[in-house]
Amino acid sequence: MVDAQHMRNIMEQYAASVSAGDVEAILSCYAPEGSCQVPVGGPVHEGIDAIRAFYEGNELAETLVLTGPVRVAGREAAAPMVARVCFDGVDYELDVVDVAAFNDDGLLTSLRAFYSLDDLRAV
Amino acid sequence: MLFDQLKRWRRLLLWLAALGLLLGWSLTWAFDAPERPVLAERENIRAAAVHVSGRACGQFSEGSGFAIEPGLVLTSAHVVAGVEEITVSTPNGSSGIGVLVGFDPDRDIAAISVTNLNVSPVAVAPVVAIAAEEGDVGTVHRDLGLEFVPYRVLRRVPVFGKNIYLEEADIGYMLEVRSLLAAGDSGAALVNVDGEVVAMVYAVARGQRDQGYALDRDEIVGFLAEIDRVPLPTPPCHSF
Repeated sequence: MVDAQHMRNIMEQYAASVSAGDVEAILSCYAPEGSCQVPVGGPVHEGIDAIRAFYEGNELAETLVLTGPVRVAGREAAAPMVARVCFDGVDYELDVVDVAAFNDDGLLTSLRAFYSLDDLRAV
Repeated sequence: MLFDQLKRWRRLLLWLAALGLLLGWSLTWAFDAPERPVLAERENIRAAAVHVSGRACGQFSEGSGFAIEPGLVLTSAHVVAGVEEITVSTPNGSSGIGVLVGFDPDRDIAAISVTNLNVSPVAVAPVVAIAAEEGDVGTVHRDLGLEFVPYRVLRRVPVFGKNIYLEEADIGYMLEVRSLLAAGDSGAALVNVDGEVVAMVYAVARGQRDQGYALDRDEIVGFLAEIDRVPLPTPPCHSF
């Protein structure tokens, strides 16, 4: 059953999988027909093959950590997070909100990340 | 009695000799192994190698590259696709802003014009590499500087598949190589023992960490002959 706790668990599993750099674990959160857009405004990757290509072809955050409770409404969830990224040899932090929608099986049909690289903080 | 003892000693001596041979061989191997890639020819790529970075569609993009003509650097097209401001830096830390002057999303190769950057061009090999040929990949990481990763050519193959926009395309000839490549090595030069570029890192084989693909020298030469070396508009971000 897809309840609020299940959606919270999936968002936590997603963040932990990104931190671990484990693409297979990330993909296991997604429905085969799912889509991702990271960040909002960027290209939309539709279907599990395109999603795989996105996560394999781009630098993942070093860590992605939930900074507060996942807010759930209906079949959707919003998760406040902080990402730690390394670029050009410098470590940065970036505030992110991931907004996700789930199917009947409790898998992600859509994940959209709200952030801007203009808001990077050097750490 | 004495005879028995001698026999035992002889067996021990034989063992010792065998062990000595084994030890000698492994020591030679151990001390030779790091020696092989330390070639004077590496200096060519040391003077040419650069790091290329920028931001594209909310993602960080970075890779390696190398000077091929005075003021002209090559890298992978997917490293600079969508990047408004291309930063090119040398292993010793000097950096400048590059201008895109050549872009081929099928072959996944791009040319960047840079001025006031202290790099010396490296030559393209006059002929294609053959199987079992060895050399070094000269890759530049922003924080680690220039690193050499040995490669061995497995075969030279024509590749048809998806380009950086996931469109079906004739990619061109690739060298399939045995090498411990990583994502950030895209655009790095494969340099043979004569210090010439035989290919440019293209991709790491999925699920096989020690196998990669590199764009053949024929494609590099073809690309250089096609481009006009005039500033281009920023191409769209790649589709992956």
